[in-house]
Amino acid sequence: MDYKYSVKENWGKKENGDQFIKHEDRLKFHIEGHPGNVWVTEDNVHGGRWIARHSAVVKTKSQAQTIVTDIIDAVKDTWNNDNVDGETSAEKILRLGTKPTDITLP
Amino acid sequence: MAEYKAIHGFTVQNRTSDTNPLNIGQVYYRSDTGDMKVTLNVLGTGSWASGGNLTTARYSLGGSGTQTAALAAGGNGNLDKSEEYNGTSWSEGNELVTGTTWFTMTGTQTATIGAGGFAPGITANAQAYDGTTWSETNDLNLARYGMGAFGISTSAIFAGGANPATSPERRAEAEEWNGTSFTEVADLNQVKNVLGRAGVTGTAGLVFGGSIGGTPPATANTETWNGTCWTEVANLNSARETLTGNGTSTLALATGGSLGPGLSALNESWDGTSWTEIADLSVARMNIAGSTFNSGNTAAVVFSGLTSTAVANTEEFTVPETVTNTTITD
Repeated sequence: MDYKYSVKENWGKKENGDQFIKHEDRLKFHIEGHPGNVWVTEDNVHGGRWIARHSAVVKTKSQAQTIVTDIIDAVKDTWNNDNVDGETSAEKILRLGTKPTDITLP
Repeated sequence: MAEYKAIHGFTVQNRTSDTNPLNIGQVYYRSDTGDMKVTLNVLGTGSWASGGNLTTARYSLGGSGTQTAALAAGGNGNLDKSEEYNGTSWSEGNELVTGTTWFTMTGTQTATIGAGGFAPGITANAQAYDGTTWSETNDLNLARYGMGAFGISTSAIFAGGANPATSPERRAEAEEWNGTSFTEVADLNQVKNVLGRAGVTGTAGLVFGGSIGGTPPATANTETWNGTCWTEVANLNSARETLTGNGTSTLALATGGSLGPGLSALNESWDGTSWTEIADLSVARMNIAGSTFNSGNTAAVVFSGLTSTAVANTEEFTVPETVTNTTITD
């Protein structure tokens, strides 16, 4: 499957019922969201219409991957440096959640 | 003397047009075409669509309620914020008495019981919501976080969980909430925490997935509760921890979580016997929360969670229903 990459803030659902991602969208094309508001959409006419509908900023795969990786690296650094004296690793995970892992875009 | 119906049985209606589509289950005979027909409710393909974003992005929070009347409370950083969802948008309500990370909740938007978590330090604290205000109630017998809870505010089960200060860290204990206090009941067959759950009564529920420690930590194990004991049933297709669940003991969804390591967008549907992978979330996330009180596996709402940072996104699962008049064939 080929993909397109774009960036757009997920505004969720509006009071008039309009949805950022609609059920019809999910039945017509693959879409997945990643850190940095990066969206990976199936490269077909429906995915293209979704990008146009939202005026999402189109990126290359490399550009999209860089956005995601930079965010995860920054969060990893924050996670590594956020320590409490006497805290075990289990307690740190309990407090902060699991340390983020790398994401490779499809 | 035998009656005509006892000998020949009931007859079906003869019609020359299809029935009112609201008469689901009605069998009838189309005398004009010679077809025997039945009016059925046909389920389409379920999918996740966007819901309104929470006002505060967070993870490791508690969730309860339904797709159109959900409740979110607590979260990372011992958050005390509580929000209500109306099917479109979230609005802030009154705060928790004690802000809690990994607060475990079950019930409806107007009657929820929550317990355990990290506040900071592992707590046995329990709090109840009446639709307006959170208030302290009697505590759990065993302090822990990351339990699976199902049922209502007057009859619920809280099972599993973990406490790093105890040995073993992960627990099999289950406690029953009767509206006033917690009482220990039969243990799970497997120790685990951060597990999924489904069930709308305290006498019939399902727990699935979770962490059992080790490498990898996630389990696919599923157990059902019949009001007395736990029984192991068919495993999830993909072992996951920090997932969420919706539905009942016989019709449930297991959604999101961590593959340990790795985020999951997976969504599996339980039919009372086995799990089937169905439509994925659009945003993979762990430490996710969801509604508890949907009556089956055809409607759910999940919210917040952790991707690399806390997210405020909500996703709504819906299976479209269509009423059709179908010809009965051999």
